[in-house]
Amino acid sequence: MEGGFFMKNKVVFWGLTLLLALMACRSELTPAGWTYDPQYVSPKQPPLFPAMEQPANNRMTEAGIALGRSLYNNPILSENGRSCASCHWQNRAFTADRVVVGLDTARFYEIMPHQNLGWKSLYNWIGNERLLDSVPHADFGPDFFNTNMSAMKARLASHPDYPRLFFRAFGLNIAASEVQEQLPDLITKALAQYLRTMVSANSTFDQFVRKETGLAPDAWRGYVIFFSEKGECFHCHGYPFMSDLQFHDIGLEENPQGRHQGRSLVSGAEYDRGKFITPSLRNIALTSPYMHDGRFATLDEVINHYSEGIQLSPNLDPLFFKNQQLYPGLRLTGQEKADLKAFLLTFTDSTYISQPQ
Amino acid sequence: MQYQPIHWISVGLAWVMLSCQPEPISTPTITTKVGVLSFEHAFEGALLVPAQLQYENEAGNLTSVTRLEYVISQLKMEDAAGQQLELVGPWYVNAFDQKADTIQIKDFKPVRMRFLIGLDSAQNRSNRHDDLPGFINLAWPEIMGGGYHFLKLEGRFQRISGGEAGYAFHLGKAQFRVPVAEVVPAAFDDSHWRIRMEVSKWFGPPVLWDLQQHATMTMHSDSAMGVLSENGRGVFHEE
Repeated sequence: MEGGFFMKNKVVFWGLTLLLALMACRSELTPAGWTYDPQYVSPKQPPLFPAMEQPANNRMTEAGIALGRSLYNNPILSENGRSCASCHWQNRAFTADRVVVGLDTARFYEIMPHQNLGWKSLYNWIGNERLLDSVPHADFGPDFFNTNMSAMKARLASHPDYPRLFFRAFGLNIAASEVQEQLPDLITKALAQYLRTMVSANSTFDQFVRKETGLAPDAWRGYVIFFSEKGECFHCHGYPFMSDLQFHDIGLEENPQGRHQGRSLVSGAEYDRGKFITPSLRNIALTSPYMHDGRFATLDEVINHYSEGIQLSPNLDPLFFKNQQLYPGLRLTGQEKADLKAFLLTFTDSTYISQPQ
Repeated sequence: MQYQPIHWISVGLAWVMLSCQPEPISTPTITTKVGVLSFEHAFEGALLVPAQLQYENEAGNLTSVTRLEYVISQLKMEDAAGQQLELVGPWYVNAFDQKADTIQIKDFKPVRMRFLIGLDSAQNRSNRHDDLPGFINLAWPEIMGGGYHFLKLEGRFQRISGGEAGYAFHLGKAQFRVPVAEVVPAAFDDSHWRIRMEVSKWFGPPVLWDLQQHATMTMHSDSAMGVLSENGRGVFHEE
């Protein structure tokens, strides 16, 4: 009987100990006065845009977006004073000339603008990332933030605001040792939430599509070239993303080598050699230089390439050499080039580059 | 060891915490059997390989296929007992994308089927299907009539004069939808069916399309799309 009574008391004792331990852990994970009450946010849904899908493990919340926005603009993630915004300037549709921001042009592709990323399923020029939530991990590397992970975690954990912001976003106290390991993932998730809110959908051309405005005569003539087999632009740069989000060889190199091999560096397929993801033409007037390697400084140079500069590369898109043409290219007149450029300028979304994002 | 109030409080607290856990909800398992219809693509009987300049069409042109995307709709199936099942769709099929070379159909055992390659005039409206996978890149420009591409068949061919050139057989506009009848599916098993497109038939017969002589782009030409529509009627018939 005594043994049984002892055993019962032992159970109560250890049960109480366990409960206290759990409460102690909980107090570390949930600091007093902090609350986690996620307010979920639906993705923006501009007219004629398809629905944006979010990953189930990183649905957008008000707090997550606010945290992502703060981290995007704060050099706290880096050892060199850089933040995301250092290379993604709002007045240039969240991109920048890689030369200006000090990236090695021999090693890096052009910086792609941050706009409408939530609809993409492959990222970077060669599609080597499938999940927006993972894309920012590369920025911790030596070429961008040069992040010392331990130091960065310590900076965030001891910051007067960030621990609470992270808690509000994810319900986790980043000062707790078991959460520290997850911190890089939490950072990239918050950044991804913010990036999914960055939607450009109010250019002059958007307004034209919504029948809210007209086009000037030269832009209208450019529209006709763009959306017909004369220019063939629409097959890869269709509305609303002004990109088909697929890979094409547009005849930049007769024999693509090195980093010009593009998509084949990921897929290993010979038929992908020389192909790059179609960049969006949204805000194209703001996002020079052009192409994966920035070889064209102006839109005129880009149009000239499509007109008479296309190389007969091994995987050149069939759309560029058709109907018994002896040479690939669109063969546009000077007037047609000017009209096409006038139309491209209607893709600038002044709302996106001026209002708080 | 005597029980103290703290013991009872802690036990009570633990009981309250446990009792606050939501009751597990038993979800009944509903198994709805679905069928799968797979699309295979061949050139002269051999399974299609992307971007290989190795296929000879009826006119003797050496060709490759770099893109083959199309729309299926108005699927009508009949089983051995004569029962019919009709599914409106539409569905997007991409020969070179494993995520888009099957469609789900209801549990049915078809012995024959018919369908459209393309859309009828009620369905071929701009932006109507943009939320469906694949459709947003099939948009047919408003200034060319709007709606969707029904077919994108692209590739290269060897020119007699030397070198290579491209072709792009694009089909759209409701009047050029392709009615395909009397297609006999092959069964993998009780719920998985397969039909095969013979890609070479887009080049004829019945109308022989010689890439050395005829237009290699079709969107601007109703007569060219009329020929494609006619040739397309036989592409799912294995002979």
